[in-house]
Amino acid sequence: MVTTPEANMHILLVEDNPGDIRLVREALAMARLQCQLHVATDGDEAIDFLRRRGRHAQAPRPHLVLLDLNLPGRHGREVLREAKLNPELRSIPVIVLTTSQSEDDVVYAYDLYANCYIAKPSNLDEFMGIVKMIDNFWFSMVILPHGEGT
Amino acid sequence: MDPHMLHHTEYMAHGFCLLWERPLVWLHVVADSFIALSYYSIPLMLLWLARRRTDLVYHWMFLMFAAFIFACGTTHVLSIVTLWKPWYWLDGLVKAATAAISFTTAVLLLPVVPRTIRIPGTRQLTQANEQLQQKIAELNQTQAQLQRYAIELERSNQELGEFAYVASHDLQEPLRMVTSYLQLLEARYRNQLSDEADEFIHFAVDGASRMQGLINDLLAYSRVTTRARAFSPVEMNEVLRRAQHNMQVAIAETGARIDADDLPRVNGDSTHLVQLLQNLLSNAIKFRGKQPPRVELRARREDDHWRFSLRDNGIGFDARYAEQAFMIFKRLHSNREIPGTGIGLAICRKIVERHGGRIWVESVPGEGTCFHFTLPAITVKPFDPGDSE
Repeated sequence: MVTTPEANMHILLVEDNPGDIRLVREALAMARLQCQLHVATDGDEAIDFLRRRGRHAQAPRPHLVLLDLNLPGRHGREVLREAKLNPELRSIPVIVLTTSQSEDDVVYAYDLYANCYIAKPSNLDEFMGIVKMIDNFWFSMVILPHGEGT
Repeated sequence: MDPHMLHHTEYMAHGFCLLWERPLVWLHVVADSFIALSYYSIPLMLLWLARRRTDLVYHWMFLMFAAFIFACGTTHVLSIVTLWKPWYWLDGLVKAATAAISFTTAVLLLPVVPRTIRIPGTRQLTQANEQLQQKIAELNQTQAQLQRYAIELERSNQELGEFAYVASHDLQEPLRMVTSYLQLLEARYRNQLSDEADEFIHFAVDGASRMQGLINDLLAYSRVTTRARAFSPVEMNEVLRRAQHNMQVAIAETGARIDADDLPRVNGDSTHLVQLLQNLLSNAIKFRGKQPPRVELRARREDDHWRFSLRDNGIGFDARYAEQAFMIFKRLHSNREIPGTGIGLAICRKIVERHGGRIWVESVPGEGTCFHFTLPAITVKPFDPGDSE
């Protein structure tokens, strides 16, 4: 039924805070973004999802990763390193979406080829705005590599 | 000297007096020889000492002693000579010379003695030295203790700064949830609930966003120390330009006019100085009166620093509150009158004090406010074309 080009877009959200997960879902719904949101709640699960291991053996290859840095267990930095140093995964855009505004984190993220770094805004409208912008930019304006894996 | 004096035949050699008794003559010869030998060697040693120890007080006294003892030695040599040769004139002349030298030495020595007595002796010096050593040890101990306190203080200060930063950063996370979900609630259910519920939500949203503001300010305040950069020469004209650029919307909206002197270079952290001027400008614009804001920025050299004065034509305030204005989260106006959290001037003070300066304010209600602050001047201006930033 859905025929928009985004219909089969897969987004992997790596986030441990249920409140933020719900916010992203709400924002995606409000932005009327037709996509499938997958959630990994810690660093290990995110890596399993990307590598299609364990219970994520059937996982699709995401078109975009939204990555929080402060995660329980393996840190978001390690997930980023895993994603960007792996030749099969490195073409997937990774957007760091985190509360941290630390200069160290920003530098580190870009050093590891993060595609962009966004600090989570405290205001709901701004948060919605950012999700809408991600939609506009990454799924409408930008041409992404398709067809690999999935 | 008259040779007759030396070879006077009318006198008898001294040996005659001794009836040429060999043991007695030899006793005199040997005794006088040893005396002479010793008297000649003592001046040599004194000269040696005086030459080496040029630091000695009454250095000349040693030379006098050397001369006088040498003369004494010579009289004993002549005593031996006169045993066989009756050169009594020569003997007498040498004695007279010795007398002159001895007498001079004695006279010169007289005032020296009491003064020499006052020169501390080795024992006194050793004692004084010991006391000094003890004092030095005590001082070293005190210094070490002070150093420990300084290190401890610095550490605790740093910890406090880090604590403020971490606390304000980590507090943001749950607060963001509160704010976001209240806003979501408001957005989705407004008008579906009673008016009262809408009002409650409004108060909760308002409270949460004000708390957000406070936390952001606390973060900004703690960043003054946690993100401090080393000082370098800073062009204050450029600092003002950047502050004005950051404030351009407010300046345009209120029709504010800023009139500044040609500002000097100071030694400082340019990012912080921009923030300082920006906060003061924003203050002047925020607390404007009915007229469009007019701001004057003057700079005057005072000793080793520059004094900047930023005067506005705003609403001013009672001078009684001048000191309170710089306290963290202290506000002189209610939130309804003029919104704000009261961090701006606290940050200004922290920045100025970090630069070793002072900030104070003069104000008359209804007439305006004048902020003064001092910043260290650049005393030696090394030529370096790339150091303006």
